[in-house]
Amino acid sequence: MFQFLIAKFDQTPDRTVFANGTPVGVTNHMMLLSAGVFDITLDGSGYTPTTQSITLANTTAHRPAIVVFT
Amino acid sequence: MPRLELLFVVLVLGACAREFPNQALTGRPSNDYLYQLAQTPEPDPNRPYIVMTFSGGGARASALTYDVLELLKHAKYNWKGETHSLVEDVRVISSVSGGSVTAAWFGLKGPDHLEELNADFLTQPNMGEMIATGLSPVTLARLAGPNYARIDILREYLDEKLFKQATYRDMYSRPGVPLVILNATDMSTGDVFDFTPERFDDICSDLGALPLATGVASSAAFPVALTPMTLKNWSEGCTQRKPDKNTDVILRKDNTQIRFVNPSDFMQAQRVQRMRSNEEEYVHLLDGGLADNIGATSALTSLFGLRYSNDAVFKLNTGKIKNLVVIAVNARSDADTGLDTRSSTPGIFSVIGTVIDAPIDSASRGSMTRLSDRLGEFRTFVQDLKAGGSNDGPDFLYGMQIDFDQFDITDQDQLKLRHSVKNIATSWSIDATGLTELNQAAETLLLQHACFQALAKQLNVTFDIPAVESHRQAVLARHNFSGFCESSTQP
Repeated sequence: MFQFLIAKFDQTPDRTVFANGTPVGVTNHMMLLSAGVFDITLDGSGYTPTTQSITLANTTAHRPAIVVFT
Repeated sequence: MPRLELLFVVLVLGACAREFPNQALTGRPSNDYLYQLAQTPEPDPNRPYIVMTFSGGGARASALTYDVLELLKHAKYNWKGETHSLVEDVRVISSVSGGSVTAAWFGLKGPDHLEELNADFLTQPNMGEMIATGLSPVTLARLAGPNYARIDILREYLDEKLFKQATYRDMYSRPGVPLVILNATDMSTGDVFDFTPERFDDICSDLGALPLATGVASSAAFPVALTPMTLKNWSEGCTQRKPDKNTDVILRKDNTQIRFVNPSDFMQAQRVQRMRSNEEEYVHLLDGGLADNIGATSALTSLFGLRYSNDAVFKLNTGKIKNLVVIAVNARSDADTGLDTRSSTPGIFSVIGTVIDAPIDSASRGSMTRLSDRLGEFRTFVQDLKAGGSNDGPDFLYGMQIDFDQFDITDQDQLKLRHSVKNIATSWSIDATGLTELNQAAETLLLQHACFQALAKQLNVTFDIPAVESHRQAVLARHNFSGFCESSTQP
């Protein structure tokens, strides 16, 4: 099943989002991923936490999983 | 050859150590270097991103997939003032068995040399030549040794006759080469074994050095008739290898939920770990049709998985693919066995045939359904996304199935053609009549497919072969189904 994820980050421009080291989308945009476990990171530096571990399951377009970086 | 000499050859060969067709990966951390060779430019997001699957079915599959590629080559459209053909937009091909011959040839030679496949292979008496080779005294002597098995008859034939010792490095060096995934079946797990840089990282082997013919023969190692292809896992002492981060995360001790959330990924990760830890010292490969005779598994991984370096997930999520086209070419046979018209108990050969064919047919149906379902799910996802006001995701999604069951059976000519092509035997040779019929089948099935018609309408495609263009116009006059293709992803 496809799952929905948004990685929020308030700095511009949008950054590339990596799931388990693979680029999967950009910050602040909805992303599609298969269900599973992921280490979410962003391109570049200057954000915290450096990695967010997440289990993606039971999401919908209206209730996506959200990880927040600052 | 005199008997004593023959005996000598047998003894010498028998005394040799076992050799393997694949080499260890040395001096490099991974096979990623292959992706750097061709320097293929990023595709224009608005041009079609075509993913194809080529089924098994011996030369019947090789010919049908060749015909479909030829049609795409002659399907022209204008883009930003330049003429292009749809075949240039093929980005991924996932293939099995007979379809792998065409996939590997296309990967190696590209559209400009596609026709040579017809002259050098499809029209040749391949089966007779391979049988003659198999029965020669030299071959019989080699078969007695440890380094030659029946699969090598096919491997050597393809290597000498068609691929001329070309390797994966040669294929990946061709500018514009798509991601070509030849699929075999791993005997120890029953799973797909994909001939990709990532899979060869798992067994610490240099894919670039592997002859293409070895990949094709592995994908086409039809059980019983041919022996499995055996690869060596070189993971022992492979200390410099690039880690597989996805597998490492999935199998990390704190990730206890993955086995419930995505059992399939969990099993795959365990399999990768077994290979990387050298628990699986050898990989014995049979025809890819046993696991998935469509090639759907690797095609779906190339689109929605994190395994391959084509970054399709990223491109789909960020609007870098606006026009996704998936074409599944299925050369499934449906030969009339006559079994259901006889009361006598089927004999041993009928039973063996069924034991081999029934799982392949069943797996094909399952794979085709899975492919279709996943694309449907993805369409819903994109529609939900766009309903929320987003511009991300593809604007168009075309799913096409080129399958003999898609003939119009109310048309007597098509009904007859359907019966003929379904009864072309699974072999490495096809006669001229069979090749003509498969050509007609490919043309008819593609031109009357609702989603091909819709794609052609969107891009204003015309064929540069007058006869094919006339056929297209005639089909559109009688069977214009473009409205039946749900291609737009707008909610």
